[in-house]
Amino acid sequence: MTALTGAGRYFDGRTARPVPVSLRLEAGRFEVSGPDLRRDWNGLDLRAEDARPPLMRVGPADTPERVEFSDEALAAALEALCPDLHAGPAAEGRTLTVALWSMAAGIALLGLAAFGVPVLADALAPLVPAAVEDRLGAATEKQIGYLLGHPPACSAPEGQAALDRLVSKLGAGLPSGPRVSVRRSTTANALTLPGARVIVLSDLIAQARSPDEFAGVLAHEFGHVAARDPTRALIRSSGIAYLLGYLVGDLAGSAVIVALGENALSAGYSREAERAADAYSVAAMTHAGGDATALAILLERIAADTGEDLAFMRSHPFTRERAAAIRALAAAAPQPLAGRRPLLDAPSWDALKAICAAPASR
Amino acid sequence: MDVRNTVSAERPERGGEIAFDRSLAGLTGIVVKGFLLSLVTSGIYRFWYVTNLRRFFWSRTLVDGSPAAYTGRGEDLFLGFLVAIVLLVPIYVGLFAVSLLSPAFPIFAGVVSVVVLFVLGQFALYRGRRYRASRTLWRGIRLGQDGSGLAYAALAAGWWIVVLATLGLAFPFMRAALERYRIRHTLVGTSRMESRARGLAVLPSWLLIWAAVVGTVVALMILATLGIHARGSRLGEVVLPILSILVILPVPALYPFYRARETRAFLSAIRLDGVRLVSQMKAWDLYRPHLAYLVQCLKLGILITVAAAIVVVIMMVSGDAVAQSVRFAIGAIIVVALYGWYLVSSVVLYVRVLKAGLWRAVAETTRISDAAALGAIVASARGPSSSLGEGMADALDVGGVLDIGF
Repeated sequence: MTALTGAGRYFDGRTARPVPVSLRLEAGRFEVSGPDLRRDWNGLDLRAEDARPPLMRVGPADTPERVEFSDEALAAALEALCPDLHAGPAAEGRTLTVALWSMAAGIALLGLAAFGVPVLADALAPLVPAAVEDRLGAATEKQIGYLLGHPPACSAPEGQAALDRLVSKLGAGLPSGPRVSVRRSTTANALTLPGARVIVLSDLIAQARSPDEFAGVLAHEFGHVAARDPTRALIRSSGIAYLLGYLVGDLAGSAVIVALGENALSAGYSREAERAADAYSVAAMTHAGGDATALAILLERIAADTGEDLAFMRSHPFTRERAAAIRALAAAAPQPLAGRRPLLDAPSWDALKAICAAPASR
Repeated sequence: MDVRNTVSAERPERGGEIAFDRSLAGLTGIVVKGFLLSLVTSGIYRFWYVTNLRRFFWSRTLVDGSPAAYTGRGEDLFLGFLVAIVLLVPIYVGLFAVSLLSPAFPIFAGVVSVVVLFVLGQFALYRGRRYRASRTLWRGIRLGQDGSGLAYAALAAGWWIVVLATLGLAFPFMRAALERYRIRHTLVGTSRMESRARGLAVLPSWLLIWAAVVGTVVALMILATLGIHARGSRLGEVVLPILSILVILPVPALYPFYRARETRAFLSAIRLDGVRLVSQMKAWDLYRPHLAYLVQCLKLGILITVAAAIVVVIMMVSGDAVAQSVRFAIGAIIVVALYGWYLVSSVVLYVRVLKAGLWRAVAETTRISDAAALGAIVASARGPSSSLGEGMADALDVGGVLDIGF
């Protein structure tokens, strides 16, 4: 093997002073010689630091001494000679290890978000004190108002009276009186917020063909109130947002606050929660002497009309299944002896339909 | 002295210069691998991706001919992030409690959150810089940073109050004060850096932006008043909104100009023992990477869209030779693949053209006044510092992977 020579700069690793040296590679030894300086390094000990070829920065693994040179032939010869030249903290095989462990961690977090958090939310929701729930509700209502573009509240006196009558008939089983408010909107939607607050968007009343259809939806929302579903969903979505924040690296605290509103708007309750609310609706309607199947009729009609679910049941994908379940429950429920009458008489229903009309124009 | 002279005579092309690799060979592979692995690991790989990017950028930056070295590890960043998350939990819970307990004063809760997160963010930025400095070696000499993250955060918070109180006029003075704090607590080996950055030096450039912002606000107010009168007409619905957008445009377009002036002034104010940095950055040096990035992205987008359109047309005219559902499936796969390609390519462009372009702009416009005097720098016994700050910066979403300048 012939000797390769070149010129470079030597650094002792303790000062930044460059020392011009001549380099010589022969028989597996890398010789560095300059003024008052002589090094004879074993090629097997050499490590190269990151640098753009042909620049090479190389030295023994166990000392800070390094030599820098720009010589392609010498660099190629060193590459061929030293098997561990690029070994060290950046060893290649570790990428796979890191990727696999990261994937496992990601899957574990996703699994925790999907299965662990709902269980946690179920356990925590009943522990939230009523006062805190009430404040959560107030904060959420504000957020909802913001997200919907501040829809004006509807409270024409006659309509409000009719609504109050309906609420007192249906909400008898709730621990605390629910607060139902109507907001003018062109979307048909009903939202349940923490703290027994229910927001009805006025188009829902317009879409309902009978008082019992609207009452069925209202009773369904009361079912969510009774089960504390909004609080549970809030804990769940905050927890999930937090866990996913781990993954994407955005833990800005606002995520939790925003979750308040988005969660109520998307109303992503589980299928079980929806079934339970339907069952609650049937029971409350039957108890109040109304037609419990009206909810099923409304569900089916709107699903057929629009080809998609009404906004308040957008995440209620099993419309047909639910309608059938509601009918079955209603058939099994004890029938009122005196026969059914609509929960609101015609004048009251008309007044409720006009709840958003400005008092002056009526 | 003769030794040094022979050295600079030997490498005249690099004496005293700060250079950055122009070919960027190998960078695309790092970006594609890092981006795809980050995707499949739900983002956790990003710590190793960032580490690889830094190793590349550091090692391609030559100071007086010698490459810098980044010795940080992905594990450090990941660990720092985990610790930061644990530390942040009680803070977030506390902020949430404040917003719950003061429903009557939502502004109060909002202000508390912003202030706390801002101070934490500045703390994290400073400590993150400490991590990077202590993982940076040049000629085997470790950089370092002392000073206190809390003091820095307090300084930043105090200055921001002044900036707000002066309606933004004090901004360059704040930048200079923070720059001085950062640089004066930066060490290269045993030598301490010194900065003589002055806000006054960049005040004229800032006033230009400031005047533009004030002008914009006035113009927007006039337009809004006009809009109220012209509501419903063509003027109010079409012309005025377009004018409003046109009026806002100069402000972001002017910012690189200010940054260039600031970078030049602040870099030139840095001293290290007898050595000075001299920056000759011009505004165009910062505009060029931005424009190049914009143009490249547009080119790529047009190319991909045309390709997708051609695929769709071919699928539509290819007749009954193939069943329609099969044609549709093949077309859809090709179009999705094209846009996946677009996504990856745009990330590559972002790093190669914009990030590397800005990095190069800073490196290549900066010189060292007396490179030979660098030889007097002596390594210190300090070790690397903890990665908590970087983790917290990541958790708070502040701070860049590759910031330009010091």
